[in-house]
Amino acid sequence: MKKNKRSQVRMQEMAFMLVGVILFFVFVGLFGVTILFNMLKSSAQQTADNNALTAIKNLASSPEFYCATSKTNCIDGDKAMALSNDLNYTKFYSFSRLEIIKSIAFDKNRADMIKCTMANYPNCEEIVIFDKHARYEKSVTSYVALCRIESENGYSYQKCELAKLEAATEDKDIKSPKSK
Amino acid sequence: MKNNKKANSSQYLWNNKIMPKSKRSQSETVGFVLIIIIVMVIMLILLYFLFRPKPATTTDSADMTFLLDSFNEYTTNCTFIPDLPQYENGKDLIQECYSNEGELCTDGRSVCQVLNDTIKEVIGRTLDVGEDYKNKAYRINIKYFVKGSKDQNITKFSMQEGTFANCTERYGGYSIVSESPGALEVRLEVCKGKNGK
Repeated sequence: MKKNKRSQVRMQEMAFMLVGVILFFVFVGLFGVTILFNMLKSSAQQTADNNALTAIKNLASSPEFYCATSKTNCIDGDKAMALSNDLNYTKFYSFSRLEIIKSIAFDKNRADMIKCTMANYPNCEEIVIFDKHARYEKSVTSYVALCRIESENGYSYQKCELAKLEAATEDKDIKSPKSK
Repeated sequence: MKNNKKANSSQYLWNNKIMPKSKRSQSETVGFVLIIIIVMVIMLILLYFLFRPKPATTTDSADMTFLLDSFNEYTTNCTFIPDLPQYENGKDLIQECYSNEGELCTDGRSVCQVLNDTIKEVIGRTLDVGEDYKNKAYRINIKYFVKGSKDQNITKFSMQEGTFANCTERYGGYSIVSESPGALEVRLEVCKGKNGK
């Protein structure tokens, strides 16, 4: 092999080697960036979830729902019943569904829950404030104290139980039907 | 000129006599493999630091704080006056259990016993704790503290359901109940496991 031919081959070898090394580092870099991006994404998701929860907490403190007595994180069940299925409220809130689920129904599917009506309240499990029947939904829930006025032996008192306030928004990204 | 000639001849010797061509390619390959191994080791060290098991710290969750806030308002079945529906709520029981732990409700149970039972009934059932569930255990600690005082963080009540072992995640929340001159800190901690429904 002539000297210049040999140099060409060597240069070719060197070029291949450089391309290989660069590709290798590019892949390593991409791998690192993907990991960092995923970590950032999960942290952003956590922040978004906490913000949604705070938004729901604010909802529980709104005049439409809060208990007249100075209780924290409390929803007046009687007010919620009065508002349920009031069509004006579907436009008032930006949610596609807003409901309150009592603790006795936490492990039940939505379809199996006993919906509250004026006839069966308070012996029911789910107070639907409104439901726009969106096909795909993303929901956030928050624990609240659901209180109502009860009477016993001729005395009235406020009885509070644990419940979940669930607010759902229409989700155009997720292509799965709404869960329980 | 002389030096240049000498260098050329030593290069020639290195290339053709001392290190034959096949040997040279071998050493180049070994060098390349060595570089890759070093880079891989560096990458593995980096990955270890990124994903090493973090010390078991509890992350605060707004959801758990809301659960405790709601528990504070939960109406229990403990009353101190017979035939009067003046039922104590969770917050009242926490205060009574701290300041008057021997006090009995009309059903004969002590306030701390009712608090224990109510926590199990409300929080335990809500969190779905057990071996078959994702939440393996939870514990509640109630501590009394006075701002600026030395007698801080004295645990006054503690209860646990399940065992805190092999937790993949620990999360919880806290709530403050006033008790003059200080306050009671109610802290909930949940152990989440790998498997379960």
